[in-house]
Amino acid sequence: MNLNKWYMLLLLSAFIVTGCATNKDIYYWGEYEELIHDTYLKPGSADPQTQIEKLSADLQKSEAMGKKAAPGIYAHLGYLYALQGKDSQSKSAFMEELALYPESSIFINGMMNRAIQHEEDQ
Amino acid sequence: MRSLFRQCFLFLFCVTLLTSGCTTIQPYDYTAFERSKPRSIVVIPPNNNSIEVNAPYIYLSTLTRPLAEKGYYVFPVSVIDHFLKSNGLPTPAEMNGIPLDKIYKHIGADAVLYISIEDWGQKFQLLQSVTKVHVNLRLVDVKTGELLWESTAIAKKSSGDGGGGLAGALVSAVVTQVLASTIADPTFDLAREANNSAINSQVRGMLDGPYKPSYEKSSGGN
Repeated sequence: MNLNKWYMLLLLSAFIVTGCATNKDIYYWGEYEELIHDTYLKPGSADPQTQIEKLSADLQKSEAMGKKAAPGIYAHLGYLYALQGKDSQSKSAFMEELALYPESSIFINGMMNRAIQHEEDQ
Repeated sequence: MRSLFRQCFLFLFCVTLLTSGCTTIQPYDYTAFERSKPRSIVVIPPNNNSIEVNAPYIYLSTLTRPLAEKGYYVFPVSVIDHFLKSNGLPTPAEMNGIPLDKIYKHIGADAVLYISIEDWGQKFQLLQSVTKVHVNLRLVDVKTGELLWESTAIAKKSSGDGGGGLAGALVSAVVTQVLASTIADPTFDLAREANNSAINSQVRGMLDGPYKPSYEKSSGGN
């Protein structure tokens, strides 16, 4: 009986300890690092469409976990949509990055302005 | 009983003094870092002094996470790389020469992380293979050009780690040499380990950034 109690206590503390360890990260990273790695080292395996699908899935998971999207993820997504010529999706991803991280404003606004200029030139 | 306790205490005290004396690492001078209080970091694709051609981009993929988890806004590394490339800077060597005022004007970062890779990759020896990652990091204030922080991220792993004696070493050397070429890249995980110990070191690591929950308390970010 007494042994059982000890066992329970041990189990409980194990839960608490592992709980702390997994919640330490501010963000959920999913496959972002692997995607960047593969873009450069296995070019065939990470075309824009594949990346968009994986990043969107990660963003959904991150949201489900109640976490803010990690820095640069929406900006990266916006760039991928731009590569595909999907202007409105690209713009809304960039706007999302701006809203989450005002630090990105000079860079993101610059990219959006150049996109507008590009459209006008055509 | 009491004197025994005392003796014990004294002994422990001496041990602590001795061991702390041996392992004291010069704490980092954070004066410039604290004055600058950067919120955002742009990572410039690394200069490569190693013989591994792929090292810069393998390493680039491992940096966003530890820097962001430290509390900083990290510009999307791959988008920045494309941006620089399409603006007439095709290689990391050229990217490392951009004037700071241009970085501020077009990217708007508070700080730049400059990287040079000194040693990278797996070397095969008779009975084992040694994988090494050795990278120098320099964080510079974009507006003043002042050095805010520098560190060396270094990690090493040999296939003999994990034991098994001579027989074990023989087998494991073969296994890693076979696996390295087909499945996983061991330098990726090793680089993560090296980054973690450089960036999160208690005495010489980077200071917490604004998105770290402990930021307001620890560094008085106001």
